[in-house]
Amino acid sequence: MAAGACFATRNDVRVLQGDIARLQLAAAQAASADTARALQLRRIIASLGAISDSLRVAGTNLQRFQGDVSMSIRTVQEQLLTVQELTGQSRKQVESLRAQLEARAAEQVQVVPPPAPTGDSGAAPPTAAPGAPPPGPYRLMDLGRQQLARGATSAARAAFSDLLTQYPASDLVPEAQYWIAEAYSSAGNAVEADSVFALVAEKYPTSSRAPIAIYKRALALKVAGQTRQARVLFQQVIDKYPKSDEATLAAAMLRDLK
Amino acid sequence: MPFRSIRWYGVPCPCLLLVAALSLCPVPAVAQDTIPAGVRVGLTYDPSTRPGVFVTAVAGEHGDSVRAILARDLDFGDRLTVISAEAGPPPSGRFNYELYLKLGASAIVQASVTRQGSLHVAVHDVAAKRVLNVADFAFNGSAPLSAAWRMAVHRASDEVERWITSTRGIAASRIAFVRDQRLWFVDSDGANLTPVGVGGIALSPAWHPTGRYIAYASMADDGTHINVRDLGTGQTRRIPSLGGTNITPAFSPDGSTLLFSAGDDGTDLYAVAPFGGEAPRRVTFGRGTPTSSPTFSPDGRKIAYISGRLGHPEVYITDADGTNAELLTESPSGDRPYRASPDWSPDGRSVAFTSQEGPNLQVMVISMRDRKIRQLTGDARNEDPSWAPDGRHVVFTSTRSGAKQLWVLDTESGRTRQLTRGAGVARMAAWSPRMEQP
Repeated sequence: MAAGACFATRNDVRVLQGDIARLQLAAAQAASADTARALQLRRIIASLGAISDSLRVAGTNLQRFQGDVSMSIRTVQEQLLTVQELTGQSRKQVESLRAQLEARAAEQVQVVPPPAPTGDSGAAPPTAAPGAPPPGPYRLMDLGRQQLARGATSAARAAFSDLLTQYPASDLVPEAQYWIAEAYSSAGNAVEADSVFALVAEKYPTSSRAPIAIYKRALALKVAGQTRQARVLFQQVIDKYPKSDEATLAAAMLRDLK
Repeated sequence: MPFRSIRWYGVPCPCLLLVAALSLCPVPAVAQDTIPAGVRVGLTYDPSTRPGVFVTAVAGEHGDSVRAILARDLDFGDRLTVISAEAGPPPSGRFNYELYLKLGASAIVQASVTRQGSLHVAVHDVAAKRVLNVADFAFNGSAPLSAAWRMAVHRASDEVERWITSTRGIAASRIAFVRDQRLWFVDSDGANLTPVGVGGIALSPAWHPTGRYIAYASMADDGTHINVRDLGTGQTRRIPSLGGTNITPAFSPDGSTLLFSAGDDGTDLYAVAPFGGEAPRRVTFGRGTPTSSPTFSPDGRKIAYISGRLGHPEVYITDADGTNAELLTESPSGDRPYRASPDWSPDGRSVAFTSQEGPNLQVMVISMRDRKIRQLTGDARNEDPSWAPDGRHVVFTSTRSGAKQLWVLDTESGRTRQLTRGAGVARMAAWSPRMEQP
């Protein structure tokens, strides 16, 4: 075999050389392929890094955006609350102004200037004109609230009742009815107060006073120890007026009553 | 206004001579028997005047101190003018009412410390020439000049004021306040300044209507808490915290409810039983805005408090059950004043509060009847008003003497007096109810 080897032909050598060259080429190609793959991998890794960075930046931006949105929503909510408050305030100021206007109008009609002096220097006292108009609804509401604040519950009720009878189409009717109930409550007449609160809730269900009226009834029942009936009314506030402040109060009361 | 002083011209040692005359000229006190039927001669108090009152020398142990306390209390009450004259010896026999009348006295206060350990007080009606009222006030074994002994004399002063004016005085009351982050007490006349060791940083003291308990907020490493301290036993109960900030407690007039401000993102008012019971119940709806500093109306039906719902702090009122919330202190459109520390007057007629007026804070009062606002202070920075039990005097923090100190203002006459002195900032005063007999 050694002799055979020694006597290998030039062709054999050439074949061998060719094989070696092929192998070298394959190895070179393989090495080249690895380099390319590595290069590709590095590129991929770099790309992934870039994407990761981008994602991180995007994430940060998103968080900031969410924060901004949250802050904006909070600010909007606060502004909304302020606007609501201001609106309520403006409404009250308008009502107050209307009450004042009504009072002044009534005074102007009621007080007739004395006739021009006819030689007599003494001024005559103002005289009341016959058939002076009754106070308007805003004035009556104002008077009633003032009387109630002073603890004059009967006088307050009279003013609110006048409003109901003289101005049955007024926007202030639910309000007047509600304050009649409050006047009864202030006077310690729980039975009458309950019945008028019930009337407010029944006759004016879309009024802002309706959930308060039901809540007041429920509270009175709770204080009187009638827990079951109180629960029913607290639940009624939550079901009928879920967005009202009284619904939150009622939910807390129901938790306490459990 | 100081005591009314008597001026005498051309007479040597006038006061002594006069006092000697007052003491030694007996006049039979039987003139009232001669008054015709249907005619009333006697002491009639007119709230717009300050009748003169003469406090005679006081017989018995520490009589001079008793007289000084009585006279000062009556003066600080702002309803009477204390006639300042040498007392001379304690009077004996019948009074020469005519001479007291010439002094400008409508009433004479005659007191003595008895051997049985009480203060015997008689008030004479000078015009009617008779004794108006007599009573004994027990010292209950307290050491002379001690805090309890002084309080007994204050109680006597308050009764004397009631006999003469039909309105009880406020001498037997104390003021709780915060100085250097600690809780302190001081008597209504500025005496008996006492620190209360409650631990941590103390804030916003509030009295229970009995005067036995005090609620306050405390700040420690574990957050803010509301505490109720029994001043009799020294024991403190911590109200379960609601998380976040827990501040500005206030008792209801019947003492059964404690309101306080709590929350994380904005605060709201919560009601709780101060001595245990139901869980805290929410009362207000600030919706993320700060709500604090509650104060009950005297009938317990309403609450005034501070809310930032308008974007700046204003005083609101609501029913005690949380319904019917409305703005109390309206401001002209565009104004955004800072308003804080409301305190409902004991007569229910008004709410005192702090308001930003130009660069300074001032104490204001709003009438609950017509919602008209009146400014009570004008000098320097004045804040944190708290009503005295008479609904006439207010204690507040002021910088008018330099550092922040407590001052007392008579809201009717405008007369002021400094209550606290010394180093440190005194603030957050809370005037106690009248301290009843122990």
